[in-house]
Amino acid sequence: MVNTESSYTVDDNVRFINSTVNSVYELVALIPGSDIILNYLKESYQHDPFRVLLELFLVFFAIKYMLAKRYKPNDNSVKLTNKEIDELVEEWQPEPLVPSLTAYDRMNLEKTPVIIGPQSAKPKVAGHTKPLMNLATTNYINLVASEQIKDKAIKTLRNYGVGSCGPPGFYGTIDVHMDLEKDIAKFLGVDEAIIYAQGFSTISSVIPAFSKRGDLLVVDDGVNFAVQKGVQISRSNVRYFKHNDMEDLERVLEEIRVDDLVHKKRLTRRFIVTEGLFANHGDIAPLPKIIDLKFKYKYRLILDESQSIGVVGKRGAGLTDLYNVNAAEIDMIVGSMATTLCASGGFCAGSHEIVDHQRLSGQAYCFSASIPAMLAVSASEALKVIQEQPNLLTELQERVVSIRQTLKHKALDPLVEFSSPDIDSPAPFFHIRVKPTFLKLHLKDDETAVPREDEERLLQDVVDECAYQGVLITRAKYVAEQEKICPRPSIRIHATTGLTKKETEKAAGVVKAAITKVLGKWRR
Amino acid sequence: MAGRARRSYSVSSAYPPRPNPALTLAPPRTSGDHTFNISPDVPLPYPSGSSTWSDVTKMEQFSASSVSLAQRRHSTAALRRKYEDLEQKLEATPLWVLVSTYLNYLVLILYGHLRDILGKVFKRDEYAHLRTHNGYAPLVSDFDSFYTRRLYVRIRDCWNRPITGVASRSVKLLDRTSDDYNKTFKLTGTITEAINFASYNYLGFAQSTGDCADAVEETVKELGSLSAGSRTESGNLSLHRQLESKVAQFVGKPAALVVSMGFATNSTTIPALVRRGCLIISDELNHSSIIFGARLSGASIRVFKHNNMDSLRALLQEVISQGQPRTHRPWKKIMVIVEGLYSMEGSIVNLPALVQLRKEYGFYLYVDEAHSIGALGERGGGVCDFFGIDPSYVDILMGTFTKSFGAAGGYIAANKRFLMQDVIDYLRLRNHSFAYAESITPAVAQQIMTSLSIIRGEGGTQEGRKRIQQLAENSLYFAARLREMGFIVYGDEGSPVVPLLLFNPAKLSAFSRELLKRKIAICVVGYPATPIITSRARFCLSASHTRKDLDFALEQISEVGDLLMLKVSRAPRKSVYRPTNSISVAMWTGMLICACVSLVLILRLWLVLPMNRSRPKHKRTGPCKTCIVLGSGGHTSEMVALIRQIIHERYSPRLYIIANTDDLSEVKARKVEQDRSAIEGKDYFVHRIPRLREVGQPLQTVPFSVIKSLIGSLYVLYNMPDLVSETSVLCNGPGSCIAVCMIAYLPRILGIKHIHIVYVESFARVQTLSLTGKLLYNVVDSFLVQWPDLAAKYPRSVYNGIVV
Repeated sequence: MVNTESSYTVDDNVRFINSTVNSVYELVALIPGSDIILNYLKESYQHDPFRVLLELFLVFFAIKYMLAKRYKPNDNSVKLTNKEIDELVEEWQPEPLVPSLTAYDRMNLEKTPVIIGPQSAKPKVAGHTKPLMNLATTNYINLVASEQIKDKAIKTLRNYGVGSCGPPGFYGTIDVHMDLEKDIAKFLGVDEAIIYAQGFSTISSVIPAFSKRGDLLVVDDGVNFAVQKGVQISRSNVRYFKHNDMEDLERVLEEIRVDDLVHKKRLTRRFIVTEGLFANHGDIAPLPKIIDLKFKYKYRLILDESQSIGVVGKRGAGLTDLYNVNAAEIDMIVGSMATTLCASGGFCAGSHEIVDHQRLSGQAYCFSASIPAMLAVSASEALKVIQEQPNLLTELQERVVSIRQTLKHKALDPLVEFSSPDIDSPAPFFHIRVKPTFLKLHLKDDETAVPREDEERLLQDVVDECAYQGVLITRAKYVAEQEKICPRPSIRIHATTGLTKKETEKAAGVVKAAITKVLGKWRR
Repeated sequence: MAGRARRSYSVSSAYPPRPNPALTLAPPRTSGDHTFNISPDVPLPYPSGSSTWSDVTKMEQFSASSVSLAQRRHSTAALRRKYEDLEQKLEATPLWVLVSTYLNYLVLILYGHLRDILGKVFKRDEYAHLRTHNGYAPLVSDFDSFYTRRLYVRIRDCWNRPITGVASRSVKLLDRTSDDYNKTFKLTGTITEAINFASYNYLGFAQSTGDCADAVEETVKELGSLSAGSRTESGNLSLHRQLESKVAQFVGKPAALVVSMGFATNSTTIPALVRRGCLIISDELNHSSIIFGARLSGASIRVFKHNNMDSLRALLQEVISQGQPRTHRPWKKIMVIVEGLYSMEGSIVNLPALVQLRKEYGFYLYVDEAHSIGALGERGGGVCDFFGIDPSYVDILMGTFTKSFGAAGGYIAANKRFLMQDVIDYLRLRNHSFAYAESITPAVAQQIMTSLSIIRGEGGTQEGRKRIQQLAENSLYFAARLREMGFIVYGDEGSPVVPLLLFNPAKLSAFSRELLKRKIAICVVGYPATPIITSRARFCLSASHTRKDLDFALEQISEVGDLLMLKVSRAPRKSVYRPTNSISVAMWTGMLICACVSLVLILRLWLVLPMNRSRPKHKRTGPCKTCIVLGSGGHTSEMVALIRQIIHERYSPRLYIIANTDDLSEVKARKVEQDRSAIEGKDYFVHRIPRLREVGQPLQTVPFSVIKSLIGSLYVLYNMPDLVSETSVLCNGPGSCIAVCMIAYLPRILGIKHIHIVYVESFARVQTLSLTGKLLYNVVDSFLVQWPDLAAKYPRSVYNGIVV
């Protein structure tokens, strides 16, 4: 009974399904061209049902993909009604554009010296009646006073005007730029050079021109701010090694090598980035050792010689000159024409391939107006002066040694330390920092360490005292919150041949006296 | 390309400006009127008197549009004018240009790859630098440098052309040649002088003589040409302070600071203003220095469509309501960064709308006036001056001295908010350039100061005004003439940068080289600085150009434009511009689709025509719906006779189709059916359709009556209950049967159903076919004739004896 009943129902259902399928089939058959598809489906089904499934899946996927919303990575946006959006917009209060200036900021602004008249070895400074002896600028060999350069500059002005009114790509390449590039290349002993319009922007543009995402930079952790920014913007993988520590560098390189072997990583571009004469530390990179390592581990070397070009080495050609290394072994030598040469702009020297690549990929080269002709000619002329008068460099060395000797006095020993303890160091400048032991002795009751601000103020007092006694020196200035590892507060002393030996000794004496006086009184 | 809203222009020329006589400065009419120095010792690079553009009437046409911007802004019409009217929307690329440009790239890329493949096999050494060698990864990867190696190098002689002397009104190019296909160049030692349309010498201050140069010489003698030290340490000259206060005064802000390089002004200041947790909203076409700075700052970056305030508003609503990604905490600050004048597009920022948005949403506004300062506005004060907007509505004004001032470096100017919150003082301590980079050298500073004094008219000089006005005039004239010639020109009205669209990469070099041959120096820009399609040439106008220079150049450009087929604009050539937008593309696509569909239909029609098909073999047996078309008079009588003979059970139901003006036929048809006692609505139906053509109907109305008739037939034939069953049409010659046959063919063409059509030629036709017969001869399935001679004459017809 039940069986017949159910079989009847089944039969009925089958009939219903059959008729439905039939009518659907007929409807489909009415579509023009549908028989081709039906035949195809029938046949392929007979041969390979999996294929039909796969194809149907693909069709559905395609439809789903087309209908899906645009994919946004990490999209966790909240759905809001228009009213809520309006309320949120109404409510939103931005922070002020910049925070209020602190008393420390005000002090920094007020204490920035204003030079009245020309920059020189003995400039007039606002607030002082007598000219001060200048130990604060990179005017090492007194090029700012050079009549030769001045004349040449005026001559250039009358031929080329001031601005170039265009980037190098668009008729901004003047013949004097090309001459300067050749002069620099010749001076350093490399194939070619390319000039940028600002020293600071050079290296932060050179690094990203070569090192891209996925590439590897091995960087000294004491490099200057411009290098840090170049490393940051390249978005490459970065490994740091301890400042000037070759063992640490080797350790890092070895780690990377092992890591690459273990993970079978693809070979990417790899660079060692370091500074010749460190602006923040006043010491010099052990170049021969770095070159050994670079060849051993197959790295390219980017060397920032902004501080060392023109002063370090017998000819003043920087670290390669000092260590007597072939400059072609360093892939990129980046330098500044604003330090020793006192002009403006920077350069990158290397092989033809390196330089040529930057003419299209160096951002600060491509997208900025070229350096004014006058300044390019001045830089060329400054190079000439350095080459023609090598005695200037020996004089400079004498000056800096004499300053160091004066300051290496026993009386200062418990108070301050120097960045380059070696008296004969070829660096034309050095940092003076308050000794940590001295600071520890003068801790207030509730302090565990002397705040940076107080230390800076202390050094500023030294600077003020010096100015009062007729010597212009300066604290090293940083954008502290943006430095990777901000160096400890310091006073930076630059030697110059603009002051005679006697004057230099006198100035050094003033600095010594000021340190003793100010530090002696501090927190008493 | 398609992503950008590209509309054609709607220019303010639609509102003819009315110069207010009180505000009109007499514009110099000829080059001789200039009092300022344009280095007279420079000989003209073209033979004097060669200009053919001396038609006086044409000159007068332009005098209306060559009034200064100041006059435009103060004209009555200008008061009603909004930014929208001023905007020159970007004209869409014509389709064939688009296609040919892509083809151009395709050929270049294919050829490049071919050379690469062959080169890597046969010249391994030359390609060594692209391979990993000796354990070093290639310095530039094969893929990355493909564009440079294979496209750019071919035409790199168009860039980095070395010059000598001042790049002012004319520029002296050092000629160079290449023996190795542009890999290296050699100077030949000769010099070509060309009119300079490439330098950003907007106000003509790039001079080696004149007030500026004299002042600079004095300064060099007094202060030297060099500087040493950064601004925060010991390179801070009182000259810098003077310069800063002067710049602040000029741009209308309480304070300013100056940096020694334009690029660095952006790239070292933006990181000092925003940090992680802040948001930068940047125009998609912003300069690379802004992008550089934004990336350094660590702030989030969002981009809005170029100068599109709707896009910006939508983005602002989204970012403010959503807050920071992931955490949804509110943004600390939002800074919108735009440029005043975009040097690649020539478009001027929509500052009025931006200021409005700033008020509504409370973001900080940073305007980069690298190109606009000095070049725009009545006083040369940049975009704020141009739109008559108080500079205090813009939080940070940035600009460079490279362009209009003929110097180098840049400035940042900002508001003093409260006593303790001075933006500029804050930046003096946080800006990277101030702490680490060299300061501006005295010579450059003096150049800026003197040119600024001249622009501001200090000491009563009118020269600055004249320069500004000359620049505005030159810009308007030049762009208008180019548009008139039929070039596609981007840029807003008044922009001193005039981009002319070239599209094809091959034309890039051709245009540049041809113009250089004709002693005109321009710069051409292609991918990646522009979208891949819209390669362009850029003309930078200068106050030092004379009308004669412009006319000479325009004449040459026109010639080259003809040579290279560049005059492809479809915008109306004359002053009134109407939008012709991108409908054209849609229209083309539509037409293409239509053509394809009709082609398919025609093919299908050809296939289903009975003469191309064998007759269906099987014989039909079931009932068959039969449509009988009745005409008037004789046709009806014959048909009635025929109907009396057919098997009624098989051909049922019968559907009589009668023209609506033919009452007689209906009577006859009903009579036949009643004689056999058939029931209407079951065995037979009678339908009326509009007549195809009345006797004596005027010919021009025939198409309409045909359509009416077709629609009627369609309705009748398909408004039947059973579409699936067999249907046939029986007709014998009245005009309306053509409409019915056409409709009966539709399902056959579409492959839905086969309606069998039988045509019976009239008994009266002995020698030849009737007109209807001839028309339907090849179309119908069965063609019956009633005379053997006819059947012999027409092979498709069948003679089965006399049927009526």
